[in-house]
Amino acid sequence: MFLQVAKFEFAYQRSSPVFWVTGIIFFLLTFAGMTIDQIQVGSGGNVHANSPFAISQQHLIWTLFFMFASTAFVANVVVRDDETRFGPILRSTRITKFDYLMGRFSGALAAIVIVYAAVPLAIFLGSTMPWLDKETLGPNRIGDYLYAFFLLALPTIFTMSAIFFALATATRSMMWTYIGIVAFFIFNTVASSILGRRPELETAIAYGEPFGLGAYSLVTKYWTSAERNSANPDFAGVLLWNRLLWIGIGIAFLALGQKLYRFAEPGMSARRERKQKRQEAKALADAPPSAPAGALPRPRSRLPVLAQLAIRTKFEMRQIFRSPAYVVLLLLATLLVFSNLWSGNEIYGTPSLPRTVAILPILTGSFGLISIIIAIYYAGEVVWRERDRKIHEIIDATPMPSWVYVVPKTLGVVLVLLSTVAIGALVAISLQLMRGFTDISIMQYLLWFVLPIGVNMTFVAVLAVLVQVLSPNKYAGWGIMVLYIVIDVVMETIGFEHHLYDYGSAPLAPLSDINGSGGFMAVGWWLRLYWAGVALIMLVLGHLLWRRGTEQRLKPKLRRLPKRLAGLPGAIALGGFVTATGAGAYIYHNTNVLNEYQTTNEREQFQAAYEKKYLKYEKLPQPSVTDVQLKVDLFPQETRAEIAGRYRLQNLTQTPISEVHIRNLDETLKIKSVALGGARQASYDEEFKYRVFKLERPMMPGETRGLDFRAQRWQRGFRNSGYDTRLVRNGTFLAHQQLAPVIGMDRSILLQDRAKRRKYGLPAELRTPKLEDLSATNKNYIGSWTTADITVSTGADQTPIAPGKKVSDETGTAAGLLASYPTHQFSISSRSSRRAMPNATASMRGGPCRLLSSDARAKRRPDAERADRRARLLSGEFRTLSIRPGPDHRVPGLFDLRPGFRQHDPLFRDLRVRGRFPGSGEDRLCDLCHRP
Amino acid sequence: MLELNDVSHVYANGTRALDHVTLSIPRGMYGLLGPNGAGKSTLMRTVATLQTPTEGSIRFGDIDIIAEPERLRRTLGYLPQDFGVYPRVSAYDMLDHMAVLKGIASASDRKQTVETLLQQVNLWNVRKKALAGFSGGMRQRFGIAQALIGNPELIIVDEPTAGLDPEERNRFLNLLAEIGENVVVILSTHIVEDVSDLCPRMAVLAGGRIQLEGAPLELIQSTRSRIWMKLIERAELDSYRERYEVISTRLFSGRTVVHVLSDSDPGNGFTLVEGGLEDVYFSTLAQSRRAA
Repeated sequence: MFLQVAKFEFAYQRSSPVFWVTGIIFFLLTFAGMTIDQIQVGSGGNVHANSPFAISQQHLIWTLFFMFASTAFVANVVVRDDETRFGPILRSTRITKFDYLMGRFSGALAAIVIVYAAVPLAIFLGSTMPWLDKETLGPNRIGDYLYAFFLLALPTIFTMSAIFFALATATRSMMWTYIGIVAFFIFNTVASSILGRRPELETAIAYGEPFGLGAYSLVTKYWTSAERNSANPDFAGVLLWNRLLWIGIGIAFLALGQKLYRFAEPGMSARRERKQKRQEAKALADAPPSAPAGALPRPRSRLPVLAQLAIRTKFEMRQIFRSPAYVVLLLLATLLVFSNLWSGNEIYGTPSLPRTVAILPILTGSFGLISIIIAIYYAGEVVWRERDRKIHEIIDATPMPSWVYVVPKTLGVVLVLLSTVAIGALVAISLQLMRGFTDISIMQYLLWFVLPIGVNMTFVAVLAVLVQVLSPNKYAGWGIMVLYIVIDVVMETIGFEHHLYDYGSAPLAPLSDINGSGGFMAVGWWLRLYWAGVALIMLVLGHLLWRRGTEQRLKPKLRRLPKRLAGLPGAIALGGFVTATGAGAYIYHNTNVLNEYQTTNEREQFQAAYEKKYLKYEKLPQPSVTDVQLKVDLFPQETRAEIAGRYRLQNLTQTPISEVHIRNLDETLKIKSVALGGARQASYDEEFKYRVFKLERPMMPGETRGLDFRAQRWQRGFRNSGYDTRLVRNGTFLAHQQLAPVIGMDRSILLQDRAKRRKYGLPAELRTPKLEDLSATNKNYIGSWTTADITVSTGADQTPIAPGKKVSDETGTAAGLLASYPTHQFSISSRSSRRAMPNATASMRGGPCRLLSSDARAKRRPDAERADRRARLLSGEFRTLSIRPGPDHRVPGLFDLRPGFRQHDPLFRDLRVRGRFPGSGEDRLCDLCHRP
Repeated sequence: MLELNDVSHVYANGTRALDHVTLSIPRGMYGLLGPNGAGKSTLMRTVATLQTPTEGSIRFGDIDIIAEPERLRRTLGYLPQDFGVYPRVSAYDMLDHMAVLKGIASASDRKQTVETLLQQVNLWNVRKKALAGFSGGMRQRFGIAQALIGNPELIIVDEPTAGLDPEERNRFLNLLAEIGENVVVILSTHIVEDVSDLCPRMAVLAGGRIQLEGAPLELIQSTRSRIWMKLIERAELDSYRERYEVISTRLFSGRTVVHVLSDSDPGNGFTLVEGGLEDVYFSTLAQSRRAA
């Protein structure tokens, strides 16, 4: 009996569309991971894409996502008998509970395992694709695949199937099973992100982590690339025990599921029965009204569409918000957001000050995938509700227009999403209060989070609803949406990056306390306007193509479409079209005409070409800048700067110099003119902004020349991606590369990633010079000492800052500052003195301030963590500093701290530092930058 | 009033559910009889605008149903053969909801509609219970109530008496008869008595075609003195089927009653019976089977 049941189940599952669809999706995902450079799982660096390590990693990681698919199989096993009402027939036969449940589970599991074979198949086929870089591949060995599939993936697949099978069996509900799986996923994510930060728990996690990822990474932690390319870890110790533990847990769940399952339907609980009795008694107590005479009222000649819209909306909301799934979903969202904020708002165990601008990016990040999953799920539920409940024939025969279906249902999905967003904001605010931060602005939450995110989510909801309207059934609709997301991600990684064709994409602004959203919201809102036009057209289509009645085919509806478009629907669609075209044209003008649109691939090509063309000049002796005269006029409101300057170039090398190479490394900076005394411009490469000046008479060692230049920086309109956060309305910071030309070639903007370098035909690595190569000592990272005279003019409400000592200050329409001081690199900054500084900012981890000042390289490192590490290496003295406002204390000796450090990380964007400094026992406050 | 002209429908799987159906249905009750799978529900759904026929035209008064389904829906009451309900909604609330969807906007009109209908279908005492907990018969009565909202001009009821106990069936048929005097009511069923009790006109649908159309009384008239009956043993049935045109058989106290169709006395102990609508129906089906 058991075998027959299992065989039947296997055949049933194998013939279902889910079987093929899941197989194809996982094949494509894995195949894409293998063959598209930008997506790499487990490989990279010197680890081959088909190394034992990469194969194992892929098998392990895909099981995490496969969990959702396998549940569709095993949960269906029992639930479908209740859904099809075939259950009573089966359960009244001689079949035993064990044969029924376990037979079916085994059959379904067999089907699942076969589906998962798509993963090794895709890895193998992917590794044979001709366009792959041969250097990233090793030999394909069957043993590696067997090891990964049977020892790593299979136990996880069994355990996850067993757990969710047990849940489905016990609850007999697809909904509760999916809630269970989402809960499991979130708990697992939360646990691994919180516990994963604690190295002392590493071994414990390796034992307890359900997917085997922890155990595998622990045993291979210190493996070299060569080992990862050639061997599998022994299946023993923690890896073995982890697998055995979870298989055991799976078996325990199976036993529990079998124990909890009842063939008979459960009766009503005593409490509910009493409640129902009371209600019945009450209904009877009402005296039935006398039967009204005469015919029933007739409808008016005008349809009360607004009343219909109102009642349908109310009805949809009730159906959604009163369902237990929704409550559970909100709880899960709360948990997820809370844990993300809790751990995201601290650095190595030290909580930061939870400023709103620091918290919002984390909050936004928490809502990425989860909200899309919610949108997809609810769109399927609401669009198919009438059909699932089999009430569609009754409702569809009423004169209610189809848009009264579409609008409330879309609104329902939107409101579900919005409520998760609102919950997110509330959780964030409570976290701020819990950590003692009270300067909370509701407007900031509304304008920077709830509104833009809410509108973005509306676009997802509209799309998900339309897809469900067009798809032949709910599951196909869900599948199409999943595929859409995968394609969306892949498109972006392979170079289709423009927002104009990435449906619903509208970026959020970088936030700071000094600059607010700094006008950066514009691009997002223009795009939202554009997508609103598109969404409007989609809504009209949803109305016209709504599946009314029992008609399944799309064709008759499409045939009637042009005729039905006439009148109001057509006018609305036209309105959407005009809006989208207008906004689209404006966006295109900004991103592609006023600014240059460059994809990541194009940028890489540019870098590679730069290297091929100009790296040969790296060692060419070049003069050094020993003095700078700079006049910078800032127009913060226009995001414009006019620069005029003069370098004193001195030949500090031992050889005569006959040509000077002048480069512009900044995309936004325009160098209008360069003039070098006693030289002529021999060539100018437009594409790479590379100038070569030939000297009529070579510069002898020690000789100086003057170089005059004029430049302009003007951020006009907005770009497709990336914001110019250098020159902003308030809080401008410009370092010398963003202000002025650079002398001589170096490696600073070249490609670094090995695989990418190979892809463009470059040597895999640019090595540091050999120890014996003394020519390398001609240069250092920082450059030579320079004296600088800098004059900055800026808006009247701004305070200009530059390295050095203030020489003069003019008040009036523009404030000026002249500074003269020896420095390594020069930079200027301008910020509003009118606007109050935020009450509190973040805390940072940094060394004593002098460290930061000596680490000029930190400027080029956007990554604060790396800068931290560097600071640690340099000093050995490393403490937590928290930045807080305070009375105007100053710590002497810290004046040459550069604001440059702040620029790259919002954590550093503040004026003062409180810290415990070496040699002093108390907290003291200091300025981060010099205030004379 | 309702004119179907050459209506055919072929499903995606190739089943021809309607095959050139032409019908003219006047005001009053109209019975649509047919065996399982005859195409009754397809015809009903097509008229109820829930399905577009592959070819043909349907008009109700001056409304072209295929081109303007929205107009027909304003005056349509439809009870599908099989339907479900929303969870967590009471009978009263759902009827009220349906009333708005059917265009009854004012609260007082809705109250009157809902309360009247709840009493007429005898659901008053359970009006506050969730529909999902209703028994099959109670649910069917709810379905009838919603089909009558707003005094529709065209009422389509697909197997309405299925699942009703005799008392409820009577109550419902009375209700329909009362309403059916001034509007078009199409009643599909496989129970001959429903039609003979109620309908001044009827059609028999089998294999997607109209096999017979007319007034039940005239149809019964036409079979007068052509239906013969005999009580036989069960074992004899096969030989009788070969020799006579057997239109129906039923059991009576352990023996089999056969009805045969014959213009003249078949002899062999057959006696002439006063044919009923059932005999008309069965003889039509027998003919259509033979023709197929």
